[in-house]
Amino acid sequence: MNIDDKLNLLKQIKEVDAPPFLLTRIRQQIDNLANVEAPVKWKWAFAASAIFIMALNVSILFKSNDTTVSAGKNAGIENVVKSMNLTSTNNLYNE
Amino acid sequence: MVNDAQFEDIYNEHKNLVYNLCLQYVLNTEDARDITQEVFVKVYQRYHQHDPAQASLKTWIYRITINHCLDFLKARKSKKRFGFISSLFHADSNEPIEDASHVDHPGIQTEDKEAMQNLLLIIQSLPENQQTAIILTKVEDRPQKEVAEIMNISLKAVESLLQRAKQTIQKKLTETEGL
Repeated sequence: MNIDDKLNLLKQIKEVDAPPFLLTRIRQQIDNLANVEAPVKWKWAFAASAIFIMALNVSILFKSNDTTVSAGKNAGIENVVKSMNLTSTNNLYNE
Repeated sequence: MVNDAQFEDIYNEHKNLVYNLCLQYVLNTEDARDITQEVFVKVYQRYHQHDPAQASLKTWIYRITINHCLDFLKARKSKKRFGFISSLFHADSNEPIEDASHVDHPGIQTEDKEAMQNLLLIIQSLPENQQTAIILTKVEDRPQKEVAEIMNISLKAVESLLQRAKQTIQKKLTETEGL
């Protein structure tokens, strides 16, 4: 028997009926999923609050970066000047 | 969203198609029933995404069913592999490892049941595309043109898949018969 003949045997498989009460089970599962899902209003409220918190964080981050960078720069220079007994003026000969 | 009456019509029209296709893939009634349930839940949830201009409802349901069955088989294979590995570490574990070679297909009513089951198990072990091409053409008896549409590939590609599948099946049959 060649392969095509063997595969043609598969056509002898009979069609069977779907089990009874399956539709009831499907409807039950659909209802359960609908109950689990959060209402759309809640989803929007959650999204809006998440965006607000993120925007707040970003703005605070940028503000604090600006102040610390400028403060940090000055503090560093002042420390170097003090530790090396340098003056911060352009008077090279200490007149 | 599809209404209840509409959904019931879709279910009644396609329930046997989905259930039988699941049976050809997973080869047991319990899993086929569970997958059929999942398929129709997905049809209900995603009905608004179906575009009749792209594919008929039947083709769309075919695709959902095939994807669910292939996902199920992949999960079962990895579960089996994981079960084997964990059994090496937990020798006292009583959890049964699922036996994929167990066939419980009510549609097989021929005299040579064992040979048919063996053939179906060989088909189950084929690569996904070859498996789908063989099931749709040889078991479901769909024309190659429709198979190409369901699989979203060309007619030539279907022919090539069938050719390769036949070669693999022939090889495996010779191996098993030679034992």
